[in-house]
Amino acid sequence: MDYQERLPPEGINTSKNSPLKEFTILLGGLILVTVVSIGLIAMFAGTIATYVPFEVELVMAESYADEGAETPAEVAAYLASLTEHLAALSDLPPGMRITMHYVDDDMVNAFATLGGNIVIFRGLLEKMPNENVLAMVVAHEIAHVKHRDPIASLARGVLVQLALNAVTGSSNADLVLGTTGLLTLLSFNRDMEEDADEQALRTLNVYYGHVACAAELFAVLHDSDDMTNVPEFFSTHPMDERRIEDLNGLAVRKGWSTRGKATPLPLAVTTGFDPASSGL
Amino acid sequence: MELLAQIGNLLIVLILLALGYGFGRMAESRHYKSIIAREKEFARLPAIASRMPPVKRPYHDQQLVYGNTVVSVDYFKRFLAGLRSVFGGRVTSYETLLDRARRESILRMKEAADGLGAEMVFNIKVETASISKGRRNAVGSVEVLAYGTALIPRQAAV
Repeated sequence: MDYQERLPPEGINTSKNSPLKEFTILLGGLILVTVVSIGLIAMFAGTIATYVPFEVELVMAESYADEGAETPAEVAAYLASLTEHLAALSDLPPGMRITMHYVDDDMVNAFATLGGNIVIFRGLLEKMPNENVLAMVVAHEIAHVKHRDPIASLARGVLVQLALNAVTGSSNADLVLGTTGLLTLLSFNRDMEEDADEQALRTLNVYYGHVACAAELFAVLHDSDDMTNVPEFFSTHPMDERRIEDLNGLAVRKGWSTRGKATPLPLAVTTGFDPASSGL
Repeated sequence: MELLAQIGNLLIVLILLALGYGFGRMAESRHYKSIIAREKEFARLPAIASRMPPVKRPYHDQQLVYGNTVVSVDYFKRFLAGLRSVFGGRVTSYETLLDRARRESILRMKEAADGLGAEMVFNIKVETASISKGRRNAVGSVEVLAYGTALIPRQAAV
């Protein structure tokens, strides 16, 4: 048999389909799967988290030190008693406790976090024109605790971060369970905020017999907020004007009086921040 | 700030993908052209896989000849293979890589045999090894070794 020159056949061991097409389909598929699964997690994580017993939340929050050491005694006592009264009227589930913390800082803010802990900053307290507005803040944060918003927000954040880590292959557990992230960076969505507003207003009506001044809170926040130009869609807190309207509408529907006498803040709280008396 | 850093990272990945695709494509088509041209040229030199030469040839010297190629995978191909590892299926982006390496190795082996004045090469074997084995996140490259026994006619035999 003679040797014949033959070339090897082409295109058997390689595929002819375009790599760019394959790239687009695979990447698109991966992004779609990721977005859908993260969306589902975000949707259901909050619901599932509310079944975590409150005692577990208390254990989770235990590791955070109490920063209220330098709170003036009169302010602390007043805040504690106001919190206690409002909590008693908020229909909290049995076993739920609210703890109020005061932080000596200029920040105009207050937030609710795990374990029924509520934090209020001196900056916000200074801006309070009367007790009714302060009660609105406290009742609003109590309502977040009542609705289990902190644990729901935490569960959503952690699960979404874990899912993202699984996709990207990174494993920075510190980012997921960062110590500061737990306490201060819990963000509530707009539904949570609106539900908390409604519950707070109900509590106020029982406490004072009217809901006057409650909506003033948003005027106070509005004045001190630098980000008021953010379009409503991107903002988790409903726009202040709309929130005021919603609250007034709600009061009218429920037959809660929006007129009444404002209760002044005790002298210890209002003078406590006077630069002359505090020696600053 | 963090958002800016993430956008920067994303841009770097996109640039690497584009570079990988562009240069990878260019290198591949150039390589295939060269492979096909040289395969035509060396078609005159038989290279077979059987362990014995087909016909008994007295008065021939035998010598080991081999050809060796290392080819690196580009960023785009690796990214595509990574996506494949999620969904499964044929890793088509690596197919051309190995095809090129095998054919190039056999060609280099034939070149070596031709340089020795060989009549044919028999008992060809091809072996593949991954160079970046065990190292994560390293751009992988493969080595392909082709070797066989060259039959060289003895000049002074007649």
